[in-house]
Amino acid sequence: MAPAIYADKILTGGTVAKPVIMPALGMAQETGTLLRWLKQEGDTVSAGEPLLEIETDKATAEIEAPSSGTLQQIKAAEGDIIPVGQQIAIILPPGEPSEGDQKDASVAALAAEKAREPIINKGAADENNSLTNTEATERKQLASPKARRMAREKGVDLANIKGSGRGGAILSRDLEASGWANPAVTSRNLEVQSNPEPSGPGKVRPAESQNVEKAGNSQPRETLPMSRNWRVMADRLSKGWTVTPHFYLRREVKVSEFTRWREEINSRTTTKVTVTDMLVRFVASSLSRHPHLNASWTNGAIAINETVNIGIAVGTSDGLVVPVIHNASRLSFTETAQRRSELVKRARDGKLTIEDLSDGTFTISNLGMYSIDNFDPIVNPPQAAILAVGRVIEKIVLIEEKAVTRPVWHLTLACDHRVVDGVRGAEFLQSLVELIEDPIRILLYA
Amino acid sequence: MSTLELSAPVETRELTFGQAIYEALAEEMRRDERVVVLGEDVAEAGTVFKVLSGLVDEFGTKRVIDTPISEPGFTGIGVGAAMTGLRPVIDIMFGDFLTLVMDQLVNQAAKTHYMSGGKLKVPMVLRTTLGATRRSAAQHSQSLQALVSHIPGLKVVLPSTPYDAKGLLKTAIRDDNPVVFMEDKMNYQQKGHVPAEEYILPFGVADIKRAGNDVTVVATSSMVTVALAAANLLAADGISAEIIDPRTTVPLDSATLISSAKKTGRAVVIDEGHRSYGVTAEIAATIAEHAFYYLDAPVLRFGAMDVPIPFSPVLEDLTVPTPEQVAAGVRKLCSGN
Amino acid sequence: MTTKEGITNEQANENRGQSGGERWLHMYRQMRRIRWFEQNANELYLSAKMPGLTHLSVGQEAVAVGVCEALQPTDYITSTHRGHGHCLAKGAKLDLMFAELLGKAPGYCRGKGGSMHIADQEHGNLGANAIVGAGAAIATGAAFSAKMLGNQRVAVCFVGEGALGQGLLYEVMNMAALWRLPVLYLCENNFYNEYTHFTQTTAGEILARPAAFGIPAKEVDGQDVKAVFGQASQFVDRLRNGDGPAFLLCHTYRVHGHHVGDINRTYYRSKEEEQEWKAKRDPLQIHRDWLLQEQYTNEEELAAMDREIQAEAEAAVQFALSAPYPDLTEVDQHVYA
Repeated sequence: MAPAIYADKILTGGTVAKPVIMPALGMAQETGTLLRWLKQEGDTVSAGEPLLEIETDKATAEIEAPSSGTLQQIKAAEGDIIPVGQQIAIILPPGEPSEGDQKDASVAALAAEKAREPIINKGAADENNSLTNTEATERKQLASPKARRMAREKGVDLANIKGSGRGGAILSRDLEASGWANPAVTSRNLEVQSNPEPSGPGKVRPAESQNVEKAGNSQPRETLPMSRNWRVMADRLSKGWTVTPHFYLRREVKVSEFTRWREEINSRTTTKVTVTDMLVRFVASSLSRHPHLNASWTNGAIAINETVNIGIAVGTSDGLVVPVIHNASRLSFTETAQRRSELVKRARDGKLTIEDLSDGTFTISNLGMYSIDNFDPIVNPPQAAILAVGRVIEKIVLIEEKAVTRPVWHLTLACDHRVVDGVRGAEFLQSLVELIEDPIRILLYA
Repeated sequence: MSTLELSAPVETRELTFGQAIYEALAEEMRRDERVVVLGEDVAEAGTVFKVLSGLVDEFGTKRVIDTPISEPGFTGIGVGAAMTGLRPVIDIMFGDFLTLVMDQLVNQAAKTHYMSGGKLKVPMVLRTTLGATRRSAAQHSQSLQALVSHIPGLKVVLPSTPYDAKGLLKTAIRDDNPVVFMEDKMNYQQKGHVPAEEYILPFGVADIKRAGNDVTVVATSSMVTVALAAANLLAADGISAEIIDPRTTVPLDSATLISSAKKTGRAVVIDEGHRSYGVTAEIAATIAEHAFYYLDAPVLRFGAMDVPIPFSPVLEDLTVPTPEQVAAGVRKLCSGN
Repeated sequence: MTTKEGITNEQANENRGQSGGERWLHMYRQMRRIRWFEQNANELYLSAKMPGLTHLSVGQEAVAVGVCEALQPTDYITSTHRGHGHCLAKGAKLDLMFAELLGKAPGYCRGKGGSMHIADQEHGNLGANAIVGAGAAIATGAAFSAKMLGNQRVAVCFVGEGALGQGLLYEVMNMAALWRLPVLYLCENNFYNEYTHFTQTTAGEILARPAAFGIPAKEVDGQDVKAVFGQASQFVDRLRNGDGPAFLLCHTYRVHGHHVGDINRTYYRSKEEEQEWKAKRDPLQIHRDWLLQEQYTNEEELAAMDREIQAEAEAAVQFALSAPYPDLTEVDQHVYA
């Protein structure tokens, strides 16, 4: 047992608040890792009682409380790496009011949350990383200069290498150990699928490694190499899923007029206008009239976006990308179609630019061509809402006791309840449905 | 091939570091009658370290001159004499006293050739000492090579072995520039092989004292033996250290250091000056700059602690890098953590 | 033609030849050159054509000339920041000096020294020094080497009375006396250490200082070139005889400010005092009057000489103004020999 080192060894109990610091247990030791708190904030502790466990240079040690009193102001969390000599908590003598007692709960909670900002935070997500499309594409992997150069020269994606250096940094030996004679699977190494490619804009099947073992085997499974894009998608949508409070509004929409209009337009222009293009146009128009749906939750406030930038979800071999049609409320049908076509081509070729992926304010995801009836999408942070579109379903209805089919869509609007409430969402959806069912209404709006 | 192992055909004898210095000086004084020695207690006493004992017997008091305790004065006289036809070798007993002669070195000797547009020269050698652990306290224990290496116009020599010392001192005396020649005062009794035949060693050529593959250790002067001892400790752990002795910080053989760092991917630098703002910082920066894309780990520095050297032996011994400290640091570096 | 002002040119010539008056006329010429040089330098500064600062010695011409006329071209001098006069008196050319002041390539130091570091090796000028008193050590070193090499040369160290505050001066006077070096310490007392009257900075007696080392010392009126020359010559003979160093104190006055920018200086020096020295103690006027009185020359000759020197000075300025700057590649040349 190693005694905690504190400023004033002579007093063992006494009336002085004692700081708890990360001790130096060896020569030339610079940091220690906090493995485990054995006591919690607010607990009463006695001098000499084990307080926490630390690890230094492969040795684990129990640190005792330097005095008796209440453990307060914990500044470090389990897993943190702390410089030797740094204060990580304090022991207030019995009877002395803790600062925390006098504040109300929310402030205490805030203080506790701030105290969770340690010196080095291993593995925690960066709360301030607003994962817009732009930032999400660049995520730095720690690696030594030599490892970086080797990776660059051999065309190896560092995202696929596990690092053995400090903080998970990749060293040259890790590259050598990875057997880098087989570089990572990229979209260029796409396997040709036996199934014919489905029609529709920009659909590419994800690549699959041929070495995946069936689940249930006792043999180890192959870890799939992950492209940077997939990793970004995974991170972004995890955040969207865990942070954003979702609710869903569903509407069944009659699409016969919509379809008739589309065919009419396409007979008059050479540019092919797709379902997506028209949807983009109608959604844009509706968003202009319902600005709360074209907003973001940013830094605890609702920010209404000035322009309507509609992202369209596109699947690629590397996972989901959402290229953006900027200023969609100002574009004509044909302009929308042209822009959409360019973006999808770039997505298919893996050549989307940062600008293509930036500043989206609303997303449309259409899985109709995959025969999905309807689905619940995940809001794309920091946007306020996302629209999911399924396939055209021939619904049987009774009209004057006769069975007829009527083509319908199932739309699902997922909303961030911090920005949009049920009524606003419903009103937006109503406007959209009115346009889809009666497209001439588009002439009513600028 | 390291200069530590001179090959057989050259006839060598064992000399101490101090004897090697003496030989170099005596040979040059025989060769060129313009070489004179000025300093405190250099004649009869042969200096407090006894390195020059006997020199005055051969060359007389006209060429081996005891001065008053006037470091700025006799160093300045050395500068003036060097400008007008002599080749003085000034003896400054303790490197700590470089502070006293800074104007002579920095503003006069270092700049005269440049300020005169190349017309005037200062072919002067200033011999002084470095090294702690002699229990001589703060004002007699410093290693101030960083101060003089920083000044354009000076050359700075840091020999670590008798072989290096003799060859480099002869070159220093023949050089037409002001040269600060620093001797490890703790090392005067160290023995080494020195050829019987005359030889000189060039400035700006580093010496690989020990070949290795896993880490480059650059060490100067008094730290070369520390580095070699650390290398032995590391060898037991299977870490092969390459020890390079730059021998001169100005001019610096950066090419050898860089190519070694590129080979091993890891580098540490050891010098007995204080760790901060010292020779190690310059060498580390040079390596980091030119070998950056070959480095698998950060470049580390080892130096004396950033404290005035204390008197009490237990404290003094803490302030200077030891083989154990160096080995521990290198082990950590190689582990990737 | 004989006029009230004096004699004919022919008669003047003859007078000079018979009594060594050539020398006196030559001294006037040298003083005139210095005066014109300094006045042109002042103009260059005031018209913003000269980089940096310079320190004018107008009013101190007799000291420079009187001393340097007592020396051989191979004798050494060291000079101070106020050294144009010394440099010219020792044989430097006007055009190359102007070029150096402007930082141009044909200057004495290829533009790399500037006003405060002009050196003219050919004429034994080891350089002006911006560090007060530093030249004392260099001059003493030059004397040391002259004695060692037995070449009969002597060294003169020009210092101002301000240098009496520098410890280095006493260190080297001590050694010069100990070793009987052929060095003359020439102290130009112009009464002001920069902006402070010397009585506020100099305790005791000036002449007591060299006396403390057993160095013979004298003082003379520094505005009388004959007096300076006379005493300096005596001391130089002593030096050449190997009898050891000497100290000559010359009282003089700088008419301008400490440096060219020191225009508003009534706070430390009254206009009345300046006027007094200008009117009554101008060395050129004093010598001119004496030359006429002794009939070594006449007004006409002097006027012609003035014009000639003025033309020479102006041509030298033009030379310097149109001379090229050093090639940029020279910036890192001459750091090392």
